[in-house]
Amino acid sequence: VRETTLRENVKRVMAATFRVPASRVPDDASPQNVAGWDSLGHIELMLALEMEFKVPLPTEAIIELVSLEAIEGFLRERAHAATK
Amino acid sequence: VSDLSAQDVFQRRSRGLALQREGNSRGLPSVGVVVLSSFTADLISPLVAEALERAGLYGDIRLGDFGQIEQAILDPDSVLYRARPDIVVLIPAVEDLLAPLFARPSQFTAATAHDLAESQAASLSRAVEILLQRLPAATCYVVAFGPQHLPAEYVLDPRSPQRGQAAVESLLGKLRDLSALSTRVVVVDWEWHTRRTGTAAFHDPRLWFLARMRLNPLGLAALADLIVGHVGAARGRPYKVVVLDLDDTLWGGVVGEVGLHGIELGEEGLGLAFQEFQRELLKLHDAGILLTIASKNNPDDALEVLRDHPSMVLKQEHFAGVRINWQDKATSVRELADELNLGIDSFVFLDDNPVEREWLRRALPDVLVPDLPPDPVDRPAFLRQAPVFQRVTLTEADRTRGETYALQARRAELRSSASSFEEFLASLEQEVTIEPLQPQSLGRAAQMCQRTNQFNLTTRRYTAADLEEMLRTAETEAYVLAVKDRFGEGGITGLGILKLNGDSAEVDSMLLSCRMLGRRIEDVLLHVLAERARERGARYLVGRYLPTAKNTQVASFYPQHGFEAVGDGVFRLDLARQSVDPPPHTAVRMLAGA
Repeated sequence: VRETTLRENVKRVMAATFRVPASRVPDDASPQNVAGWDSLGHIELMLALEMEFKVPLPTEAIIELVSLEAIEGFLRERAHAATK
Repeated sequence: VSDLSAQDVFQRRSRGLALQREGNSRGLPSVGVVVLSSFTADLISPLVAEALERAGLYGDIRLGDFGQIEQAILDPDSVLYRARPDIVVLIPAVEDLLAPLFARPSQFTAATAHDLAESQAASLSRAVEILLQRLPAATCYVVAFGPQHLPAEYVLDPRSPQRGQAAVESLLGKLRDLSALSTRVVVVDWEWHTRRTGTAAFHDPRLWFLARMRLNPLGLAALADLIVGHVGAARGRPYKVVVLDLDDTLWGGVVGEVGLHGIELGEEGLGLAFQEFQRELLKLHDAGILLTIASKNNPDDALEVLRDHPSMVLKQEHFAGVRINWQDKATSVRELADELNLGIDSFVFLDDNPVEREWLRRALPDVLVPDLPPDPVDRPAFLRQAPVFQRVTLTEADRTRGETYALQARRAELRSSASSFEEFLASLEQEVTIEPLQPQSLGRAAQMCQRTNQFNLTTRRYTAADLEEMLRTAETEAYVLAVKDRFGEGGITGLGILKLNGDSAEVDSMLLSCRMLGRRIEDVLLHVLAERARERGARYLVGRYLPTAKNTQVASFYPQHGFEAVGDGVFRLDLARQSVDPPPHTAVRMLAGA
């Protein structure tokens, strides 16, 4: 249940950033299949995620987090580290 | 600006994006905007849209490619000339204009660094001139965008050429000078503006390295606010009048309770804060904002402070209207608006009492009622930074407006103290000077034709060119008048145009500034026109009343002066048997034309 919630939350932020309905953000979302996820859109997405999940993103992470899967994995790992 | 949070910016951005998606659904006045920047500033676009909406405008915003300011101006096919915007915003960062100096400061001498700054400024200046030519209706906002650091800050001497500071400052100075090119160039001094807040919170090195963004969203939001503030000021802010409370606003304490010498006002402590607040108000007065008073007080107590308190910065002569009484303040504000003949939506109400503010907001929603900071020490800065009083520059009329209206208030006072109208006229000691319309007064005469609504018999909106044309014919005579009285001298405030046609002469236009009403100045003007008609051999003087929504007060002007109605809105005076008398106690000086 928690995993679904995290994924849905990331999709919601993506949808708001790229101005598309959340239903149009697939599970394998990436710049290849989401309109608006260009280089500037990516910066906007990263800033929005930082604010929404209250995690600072190092520059390397910003460069690497170019799919829903990668973002979800990164956030899950951070949440896990925080609860330890 | 400094208390803007990332969350606020996110909300503004969302609102801006919604505006850009939905279009101008609220039907606001629309402005086209093109932003050209030397760095990536794309994310500013929804923030500008949102800031414009708060200023009551809808923005259709486009961005040029980053780093292409001059190219976009020179290329006739660029976004600029396709969009033909009302507003062009240029954001040339000093780091980008002086890139070689920032890259290798050690290779520059003071002279070569200076030359670089000079040639970059000159090149931008030429581009702006081309832009003004190609877009003759556009206003260009140039942001003076200072660098985040100097070329070599580890060289500590500010005068050392390798530090690069002199070149940076010289370039910023030249960017500021661009406003001298035209009234259509407005410089947005971001460099100075951010001295108060600092720019640390506006930069994010990740965004610079990954996306060539020199400002993060917080910085872009602050810059959008500043630019739109300038747009609002350049398009003529409507706020013209400040209504002031007295007790605990202009001074500390209640004068009715603590007396003249008990109030908090002076050169130290809280008294100094009140005095400083008054000094800021005096500056607004000097900039053409009218100061008025709406206070619940015994008039004698309050006026004694205005007259006799040694630490008062503001004196009676600085106030264009005064209401000191026990009536509710909404009534006082309404009366002040009537007295000054200004729309209530141009009023700002300053009162320390939240209850009075709330009352006013409910009673008169068109009046701007900001929350005055509760601590008096915060109020001088509050006034200094209040965006509602911002204007791009001051005109001569701005500088003398306060004085003109204050004299008007003293005339009104004299009138209410005189026991009869005749006594009032006598005490005014007025002298009316009438002279033929001449080339140097054409501009003012045309301005009156365009603006005068109430005392205007025919409301013919002549331009300066129309009037000039008229003066070429011998059958037309035009006169302007100026009034002097014991309070001072005004400029031209009345115009009469006479057209001769055989045995009759017609008053083509007759108008008077509303400041001159109620002093029988109109009788002087009509008297002069009648005498001129007689001298030119006319038997009849014909007057016409053309009704408009605003000139009903002069509907019976001619019958009241002995004219007989000879048609619909047409009246006639038989000059062989009748004349128009000038008012008593009024000197009339007739000057010959040049």
